[in-house]
Amino acid sequence: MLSLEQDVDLLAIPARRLLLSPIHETATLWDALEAMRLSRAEALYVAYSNNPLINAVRGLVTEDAVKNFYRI
Amino acid sequence: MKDSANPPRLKYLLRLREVFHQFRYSISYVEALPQLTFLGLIVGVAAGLVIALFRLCIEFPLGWLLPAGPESFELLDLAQRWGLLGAGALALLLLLLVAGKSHRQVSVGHVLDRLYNYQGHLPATNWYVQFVGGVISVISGQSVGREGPAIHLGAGVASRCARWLKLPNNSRFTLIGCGVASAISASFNTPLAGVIFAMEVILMEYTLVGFVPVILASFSGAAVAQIVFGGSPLLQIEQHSQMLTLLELPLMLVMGLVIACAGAGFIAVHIRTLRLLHWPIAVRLLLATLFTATLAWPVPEIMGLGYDTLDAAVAGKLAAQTLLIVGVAKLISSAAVIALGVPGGIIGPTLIIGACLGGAVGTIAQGLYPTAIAEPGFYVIIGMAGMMAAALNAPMAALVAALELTYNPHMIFPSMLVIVIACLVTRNVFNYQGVFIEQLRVTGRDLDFRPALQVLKKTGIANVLNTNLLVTRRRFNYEEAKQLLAGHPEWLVFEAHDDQSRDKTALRAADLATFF
Repeated sequence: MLSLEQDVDLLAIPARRLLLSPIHETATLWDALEAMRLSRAEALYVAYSNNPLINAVRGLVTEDAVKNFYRI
Repeated sequence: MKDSANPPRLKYLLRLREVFHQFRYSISYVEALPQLTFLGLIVGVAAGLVIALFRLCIEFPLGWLLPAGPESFELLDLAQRWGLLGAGALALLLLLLVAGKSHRQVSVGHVLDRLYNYQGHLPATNWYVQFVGGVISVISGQSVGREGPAIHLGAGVASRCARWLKLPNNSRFTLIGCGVASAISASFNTPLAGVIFAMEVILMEYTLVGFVPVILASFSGAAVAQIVFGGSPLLQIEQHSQMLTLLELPLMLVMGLVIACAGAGFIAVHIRTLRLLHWPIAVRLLLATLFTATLAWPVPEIMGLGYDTLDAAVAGKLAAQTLLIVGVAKLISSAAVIALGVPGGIIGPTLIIGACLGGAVGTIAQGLYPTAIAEPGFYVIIGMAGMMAAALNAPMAALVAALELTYNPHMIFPSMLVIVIACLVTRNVFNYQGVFIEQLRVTGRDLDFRPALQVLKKTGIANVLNTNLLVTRRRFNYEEAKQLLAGHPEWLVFEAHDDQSRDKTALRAADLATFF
């Protein structure tokens, strides 16, 4: 039972969670598929690389997004 | 005073860095044509300068060593020829031993392998080996060309630029095309042939996004070459040379077949000799040197680039028998020595072989029908285009190169027929897909041309990057969750923060909303 005072734990709620692995922003879609295959991650994230002190995420790449790019 | 001046400077530097970062990031997108064109200009100028240096490194020593200009190996006596070839072989051996086995792959085959199998990363050591080895090979009189090395050098410059500027991997493909176009353009002073060669042989596609930067790079390479060497073409054929009547067309059919056999013969000798690649490099270089020296004994015209022979053939100064002998000797020697590991190029020799065989066909035909056949120089040019097309599997590049080298539009019509026959017979009768593809196949470096794979390799991840996300903590209360969802993010990214790892995890914001 959800209570408004209780903390929400993103690992505990019923949802499909994707394990992420990093990839460099210069990578190609082929690199992305290879990185997912090798790391067994379900999606990849690109960090802001121009400032190494900031650990922020620029964007996400999912396997479906890559495959839909060349599928009709 | 000094302290107050620093913060604005730092601010500008940071701003400049940010702008450059945005520029770099924008190249990941498919439609980054202006950015790629700008980079094509930089790569074109850089590759043009390197090729100019490469040509000077060959032409100065040859002008000093040889008695009557950089192509006059024929005027050397036997001992001098053997001495030059031997000294060159020793220098090559030293270079290749120092470089190591893994850095001996050079020239066009290596560029194709690295472009399609390694995302365009060309190792620097191979590049240096190609530069120095190419210079030594040509100076010492080996039967090789300078255009293959030029292509490797141009592609290497592009790859280095992409690496230094930390450009996205997908941009390397176009930039290497730019480097190759500039290299061909600066080598032959043929800007259009540079573009077509890069698109047809290296990039293997014709697209607008590819064409525009490559055209500018080729222009830049030609401009650098014209500043350094002047604007004259490599060959001079008389402008009035043309087919006299359509009755010459059957002769063009015959020439197409002759050239196809020569092209297939060249590839066959080359790939059969490649089977000796497992032999020690010292043995292979010794074999290559002995082979060239023995063939150069009766036929010294095979030594070096051979453009003096081409000039003589175009001018009709060589007899049919001489042309045939030089053509066949050059075919065997070039195909064999390059396969044995001499770091020279294939393109130049194919032009000389085609020119000699075409000239022989023309000279024989003119002897039989003096008033009905065009002058032999015309057949030299057509043979040259046909052989380049058949051996390299590059019909358009060959046609454009021959046109640009001669400034003679009359050669287009008959050349088209010869090129079509030569390419068809080489591909479909002899089953060869061009010397570079066969070279890679025999050495176990096949190229994967599946269309989907090529699309994936040429597209940066920025094209599918979903930036509608929020980075958040793993736990939060209801009010914070409401604030998070107010911005309608598609994804929530958080760190699991367990003891073992700080792996990032993502879930759809819609799932959180559904939970509430």
